[in-house]
Amino acid sequence: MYNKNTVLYFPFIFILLISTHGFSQKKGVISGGLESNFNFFLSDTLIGATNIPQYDNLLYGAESWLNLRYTYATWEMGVRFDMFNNSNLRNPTKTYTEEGIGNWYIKKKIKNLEITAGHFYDQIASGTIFRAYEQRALFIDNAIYGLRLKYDISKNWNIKAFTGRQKIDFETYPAVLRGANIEGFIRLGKDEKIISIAPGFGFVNRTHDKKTITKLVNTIKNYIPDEQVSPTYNTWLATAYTTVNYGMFTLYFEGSYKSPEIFFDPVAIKTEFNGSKVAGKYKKDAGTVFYTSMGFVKSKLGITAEYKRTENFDFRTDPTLVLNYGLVNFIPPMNRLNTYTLTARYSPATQLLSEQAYQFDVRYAFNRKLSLNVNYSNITNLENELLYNEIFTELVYRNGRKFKLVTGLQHQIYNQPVYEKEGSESVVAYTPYIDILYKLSRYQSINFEAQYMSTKQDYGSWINLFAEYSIAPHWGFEASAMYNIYPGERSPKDKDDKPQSILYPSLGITYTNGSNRFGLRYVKQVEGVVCSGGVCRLEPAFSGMKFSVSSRF
Amino acid sequence: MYRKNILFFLLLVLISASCTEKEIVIPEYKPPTTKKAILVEEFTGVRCTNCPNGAEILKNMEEKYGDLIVPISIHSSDTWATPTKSSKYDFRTDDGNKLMDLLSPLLYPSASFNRVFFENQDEIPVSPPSLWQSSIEEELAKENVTFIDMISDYNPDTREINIKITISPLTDIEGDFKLSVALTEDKIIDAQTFEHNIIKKDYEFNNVLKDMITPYDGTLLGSNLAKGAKIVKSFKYTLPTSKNLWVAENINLVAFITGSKDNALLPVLNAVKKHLIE
Repeated sequence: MYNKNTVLYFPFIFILLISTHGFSQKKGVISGGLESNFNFFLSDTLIGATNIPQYDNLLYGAESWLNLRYTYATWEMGVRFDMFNNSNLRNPTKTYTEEGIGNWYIKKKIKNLEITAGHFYDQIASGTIFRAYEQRALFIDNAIYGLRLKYDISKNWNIKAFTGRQKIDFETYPAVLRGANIEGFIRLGKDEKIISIAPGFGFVNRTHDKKTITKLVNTIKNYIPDEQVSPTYNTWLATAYTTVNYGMFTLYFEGSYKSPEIFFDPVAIKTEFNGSKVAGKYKKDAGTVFYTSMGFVKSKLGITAEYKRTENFDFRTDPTLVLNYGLVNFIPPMNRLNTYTLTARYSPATQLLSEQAYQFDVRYAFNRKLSLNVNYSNITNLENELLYNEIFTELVYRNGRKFKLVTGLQHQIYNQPVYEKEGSESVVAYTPYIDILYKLSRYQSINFEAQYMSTKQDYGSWINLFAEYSIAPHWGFEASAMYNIYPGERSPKDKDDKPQSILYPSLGITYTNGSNRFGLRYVKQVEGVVCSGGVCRLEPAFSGMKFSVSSRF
Repeated sequence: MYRKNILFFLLLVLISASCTEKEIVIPEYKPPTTKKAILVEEFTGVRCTNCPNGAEILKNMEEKYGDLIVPISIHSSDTWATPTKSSKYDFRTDDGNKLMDLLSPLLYPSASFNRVFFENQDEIPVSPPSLWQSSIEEELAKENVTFIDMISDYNPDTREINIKITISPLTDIEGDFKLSVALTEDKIIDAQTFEHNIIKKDYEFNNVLKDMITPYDGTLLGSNLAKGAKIVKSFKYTLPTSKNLWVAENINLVAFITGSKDNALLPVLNAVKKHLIE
C-alpha cells in the first residue's frame, strides 16, 4: 500500500514547482481535465431499480476525476484527484465513498533515458502479457505504482523496463510485478519493394507475497492428493510479436507464453475428501495465446482477417481475485465493437481460459456516396462449444455534408449461460437498424436512430428509438425510448407472474461552451451487461437523473 | 551500436535471471485442535444457479470439520431468492434480509466466516466458494477466546423450546458484545435452479434460516468482557406449525457472539449449533 498521507503532500510539491518555474524565463505548460458524474436516484421497483442504498436512503451519488499535468523542458509531472461520494460505480449494488490522490507521477527525460516514478499506464504489444490501463465506466484502474525506465537504443530501437505493484482503489495489491520490453523497426528493400518489420519481445514476472501463498496452500492442502498442486512465488510470461508491412498487405503476429502457475478454473471438477464432486478448483498449468491479423487495403477495398487462440491465460496479481479485479493482462476481444444500444446489448467478454475465435471484416466503397461493411465473427471454446457468432452488415450513404444514412442488419448467437450464467439457451437475435443524420443548416442538425431486436430468449424483443436535435456549437437535445415490445422469460413480471412490456425512456440536454460540456439526463435503463474493450460486467437497472460535467484545459 | 545491443541483451538476461525457486511443499492435512467454531453465514437463493455447488462445498466442510462449522443458509436478495414458478416455499425472512444488508454480499453464493473481513475481498462475505477453504483454515488457526455452550429442552406437545446459553470469556476482551440465537431447518424439499435454468423440484435444502429468537443483530451481553466471568442467558420460543415446515426433528438451534468496537464489526467470538432433537 502506498501511504495516503504521503501522497497528500504531492499537490503542494506540484504547485511549488509550478510557481518556481513560473518566475523563470522558460515557462511550463499546465494542462488537465475534469470529468464528473452526479447521479440522483429515483427508485423504480418495476424495473428492479431498488433495494440498494442509493435508492433506499442515500438518493445521491457522485464520481469525479480531476487531472493536472505540468510539463517544463524535459520534466513532466501529473496528479489526479479522484472522488467517489456514495458512488455505485465500484459495486453497482453498494455505496463507495473515498477521495484522495488517485494517480501521481514524475517523468524526466535525460538524453536517451526516460524515467517515470509514481503511477503509470503502459502495455507490452497488444497487452496479452501486460496492460496497465484505465476504464472509468467499468471502475478499472490498473495503473502500476512503481518505477519505469525507457531507453532509446537508437532511432529505431528502444527498450523499457518497469517494476511496481498494481493499484486498487487508493492502495496497491501486494504482488510485485516487473517486466521489460524491447521493440524496433527494420526497413528492407528499396523503392516500391520495401518491407517494413516492427519486431518486439517482452516479458513479465509476478512475485506473490507470503500471505497469498499461504492462502493458496491453505486451500490446496485440503484437496485430495491426486489433485494437489504446488504454488510458486514467481510466474513468468513472455511474448514475441512483429508487424510486417509490404505494399498493400499488413501482417501482425503475436505468440505469448505463461509459465505454469496456479489459477482458478470454475468448470474443473474437484473431488472432495468424501468422494463427492463439486465444480471449480485451482489448477496449475502453462498458458498460451496466439493472435494474428492480416490486412489488405487497395483503393476502395479493405479486408481484415483475425485469429486468436487462448488457453489458460487468466493472469491476475492474485489468482484468488475474480471479475475484473487484479487483471494484469488484456486479451483483445474478437468481435465487432458495436455502438447502437441494441446492437451492443449482447457483447461477449473475452474468455481467458479457453477461447478460439476468428473475425473477417470487409469494407468496400462503391463510390464517394455509398460504402458497405460486412463483419463476421465466431467465438468458440477449445472444446468447440459455440460461444458467440455475429454477422453484421452496414451500408453507409452520404449525400454531400447534409445527409448521411447508416443502415444494416445484425445477426447474433450469444451463449448467455456461459457469459452471464443466465438463461437456459443461447440468445439468437436479429437486429435491423437505421441511423439518419440530416443537417438543417450550418448550425442545426437532426439525428434519428431506430433499432429493432427480435429474439425469443432473455428479455425478448426490443425496439429502441433515439432522436437528437443539435444547435451548434452549444446545445444538444435528445430523447430515446427503449420498449420491451415482446417481453421474454427474464423481463420484469406482473402480479400474475407474467412478463410485462416496459418502456425505458430517457431525456437529455447538453450544453457545450468551448471545452466545457454539461449534460443533464433523465434515464430509465434496463439491466444489462456493460462491456468496454472486451471487458464486461453486469450492470443493474438504473432510474434517475444524471448530471455530468467535463472540461479540458 | 553492436556493443550497445550486447549491453541491452545482457540487461535482459540479468532481469530475467534467477528463474528457479525453492519448491513449496504442501503440508499434510491435520485435523484442527481448536475449540473455536466458525459461524458460516452463507448467502444463497433458489434462483442462483451456482448456489447448489456452494451448498455442496459447505456440506462437505460440515462433514470434515464437524461441530467446528456452524452454518446458516440465508436466502435473501430479490434477484436470487425470489421463489421460482415451481417453488412451494419462500425462504426469505425479514431477519435474513437485514443480515444481507448488514454483511452486503456482492456475489452469490458467498459466505462470511465469523464476519471476518478477509484480505482482497470487497465485502465480508467471501466469494467464490473456492476461497471458503482458505478462509476456514485462517479462522481455525486463531486462538479461542470464549467458551460457549447451549442446552435446550423441547416439549413436543406445546412445541415450546427452552434454551440456556452459557458464555465465559477465556481472556479479557474489549468491545461491545451481543448474543444472537437463530433457528435453522434441514431437509426441506423444494425447487432449486441449476445451470442452464434447469429447475430441480426435489432439491434438499439444509441449514435454512427460519427465524431469529433474538433481534437480527443480537441481544446485549455487555461491554469489555472479563476473563472468567460467567454469563448465562435464557430464551423461550414456540415452534410455529406449518405443513411440511418447522419439523422439530429437522430444526437446529444456532447461537453466536458478535461484537463491535467504535461502530466497526468485530469478528464473531464463538458459535455453537445443536439439533433441537438430538
